[in-house]
Amino acid sequence: MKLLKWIAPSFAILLLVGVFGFASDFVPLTHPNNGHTYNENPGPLYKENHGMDIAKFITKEQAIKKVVIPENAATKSAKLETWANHAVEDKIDNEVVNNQIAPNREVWVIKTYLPDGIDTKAGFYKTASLTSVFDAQTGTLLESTVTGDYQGRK
Amino acid sequence: MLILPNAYASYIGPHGYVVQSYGHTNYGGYFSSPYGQTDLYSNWSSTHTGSFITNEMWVGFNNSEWIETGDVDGSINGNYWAGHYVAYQKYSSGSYVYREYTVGSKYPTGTHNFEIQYVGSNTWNSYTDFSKTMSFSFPYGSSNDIDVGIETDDNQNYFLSGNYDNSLQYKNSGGTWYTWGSATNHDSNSLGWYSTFSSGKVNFYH
Repeated sequence: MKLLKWIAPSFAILLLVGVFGFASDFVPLTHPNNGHTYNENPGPLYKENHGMDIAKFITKEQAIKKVVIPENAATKSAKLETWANHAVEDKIDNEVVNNQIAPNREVWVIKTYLPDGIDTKAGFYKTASLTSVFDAQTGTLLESTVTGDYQGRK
Repeated sequence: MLILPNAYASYIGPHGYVVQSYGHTNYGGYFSSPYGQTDLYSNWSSTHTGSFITNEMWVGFNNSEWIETGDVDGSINGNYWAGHYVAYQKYSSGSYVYREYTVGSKYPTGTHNFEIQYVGSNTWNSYTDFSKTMSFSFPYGSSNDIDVGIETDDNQNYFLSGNYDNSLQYKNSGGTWYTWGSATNHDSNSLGWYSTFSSGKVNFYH
């Protein structure tokens, strides 16, 4: 009987925690304009082209030149790889999904060291590293990443 | 606004903002921009590569982490872009990262809309013109603030008179979207730019 006295309220508490615990992260996917059909799985703008003749791609030198940097900056690396490989290598795959780019789309990944830093829309990054990703076929800038010592908005 | 010749073009710090804010807990934001990049003019050039002006929405988690989306004319970390973009700043493993993405093609015209919303499991989606563009992982199940407005880092950049954004909305925890009933003015610039808010619409002036 003593045990029963504890079981019922314990079960009730567990039930409440279960209901509210799960419910606190449940936010339904909705949209403000019901009159339009939202596309949750759009086809990529940049379609798969792994295996395409690389003569149809911009060259490494052209990709490096596309990164607009000050004179004292240094190109650290330039690599042609698929978007999916870049996401894994640069540890973005668990952080970002880009619906516009097919996983097997070829991209140039250019890494640059900026010893004097860079002012971004988020603020100033001191002694920054810049990773620029260009679509290999069109040369379009797809992604630009800045890391370093963030100084805030000044 | 006094337009200085290129020889005297100057970056400004802090950046200039004309912004209206919804400073309450929310689970997403939406706005419509009738002019987008066509009304934004930057002084970007191959010898002045940091210059930009944006018309955008920020969905914030704290002072240093957020997701933003809208239109830009000018620099994406030095490279020129005129059109839609999505970006975020995140603190992870002891340091910050700021990452920007181009969306669609350059020079889009006409009316476009932008949305960021929480969909559970620490996932935030961005949409442009009713189509999902990106998904982001952030350790936050809600936002504390939505800002809509213009940002620039150069006193020679400008937007055209009559520019505005409308249909400003936020999402609540139940998934219902509401038009902003009110907003807080967070204009901050030395350019004489200012904004007003009324009935879900923000007007920009200079």
